[in-house]
Amino acid sequence: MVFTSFCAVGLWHTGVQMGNLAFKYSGEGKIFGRLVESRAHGVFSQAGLLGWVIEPGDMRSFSQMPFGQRMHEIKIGEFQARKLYMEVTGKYRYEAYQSQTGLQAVIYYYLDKIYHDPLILRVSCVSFLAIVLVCWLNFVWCSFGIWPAFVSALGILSSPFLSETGDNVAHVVGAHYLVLVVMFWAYHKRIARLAAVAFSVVLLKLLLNGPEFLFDVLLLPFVSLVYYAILRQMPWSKIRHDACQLAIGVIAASVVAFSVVALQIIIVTQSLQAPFAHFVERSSSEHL
Amino acid sequence: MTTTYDGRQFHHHSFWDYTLTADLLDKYLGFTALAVGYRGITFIQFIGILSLLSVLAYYLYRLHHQRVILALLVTTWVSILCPLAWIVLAQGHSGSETGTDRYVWNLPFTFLALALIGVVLEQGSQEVRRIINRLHTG
Repeated sequence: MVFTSFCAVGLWHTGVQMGNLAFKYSGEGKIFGRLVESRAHGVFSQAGLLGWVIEPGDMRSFSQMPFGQRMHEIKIGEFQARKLYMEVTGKYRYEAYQSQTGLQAVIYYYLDKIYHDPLILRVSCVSFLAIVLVCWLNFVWCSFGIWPAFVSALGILSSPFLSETGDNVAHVVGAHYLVLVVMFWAYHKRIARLAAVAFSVVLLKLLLNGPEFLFDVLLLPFVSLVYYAILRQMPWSKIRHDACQLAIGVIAASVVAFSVVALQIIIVTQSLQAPFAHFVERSSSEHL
Repeated sequence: MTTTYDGRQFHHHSFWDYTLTADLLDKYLGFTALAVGYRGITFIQFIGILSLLSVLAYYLYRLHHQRVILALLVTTWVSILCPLAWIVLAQGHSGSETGTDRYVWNLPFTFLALALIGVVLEQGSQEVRRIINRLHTG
């Protein structure tokens, strides 16, 4: 029942949006651009990077534009992506987005092959988030009782994030919360290989939705450590040991994720310096 | 210079800009935390309510020495560092893309806070019932 209500509230916003035939411009054009490219040239063309589809004669580069103008142009680009996505025809120029791996687009590609409807992408996104949230509520129920779980469910349902970002196919929001849930679960089950768990889940998050909320997510495993250190009255030696394990897992996941993106950029641009130039430019920029 | 969706512009004087950080914190604390229809509370109000309930939670811990309450209380307040790390360290991004970044508070501060509120309400109501029973019998 809780799962269904999360899905319903998450998709309510989608219903409003689909009625207006409007797409959110917070990054979704990249996904639809990628789907157009995947259909035309295969799922791993352009090294599997997300990207925008632009008219062939239009030589402007989205990533080089000033931010305000870029957002305006991307909105237009997204309508174009939608048009191409629906018609499955047309010539275009592909501009790769070089900041994330784009694993979500690989999953969407196979879903899209079966259903060929953007709604299935949204439904899959919201369902994933709803499953993760139900797991969190299960943890709260097991640890603190039914009333805290009830208050949490009401709070999550009344928070605008569920309807506003829950169905965003570019920011797979469930992946952020997956890190939280999996790390608490690992401590709850007293799993010994914490480094491996932290590595896997943070890597999955970075591949699924890129460096969004990076510093926040890197600190999440340590929150679960703080909780269980106090609850189980862990000795300092154990806390130090666990903190080192988590740090190794988290740092290794970041290094692997950024190496994968760097490799993709090298394949696309055929230049060894391109990933370094891109990361340096984006680290001091206002958009990732 | 950073331009936000609503057209506001921030001037960067250096890589680390304290004015921008203060402005961002002010902005992020003003976003809606919980809402039903058009009525809602902002994050600063949510944090205010949570502070009051935290005092109550500490009192309940001292009363029954349940370690789970202390663990949740401390973790909730430590976890506020996670969203603050993103808002402050990635100030360029959090300044421009406020549409999605406003929900960084949920990761995991708001979630833990909701569990803490639930624990305080449950334990607090039990305590009140116990006091009423004692008054009746006494």
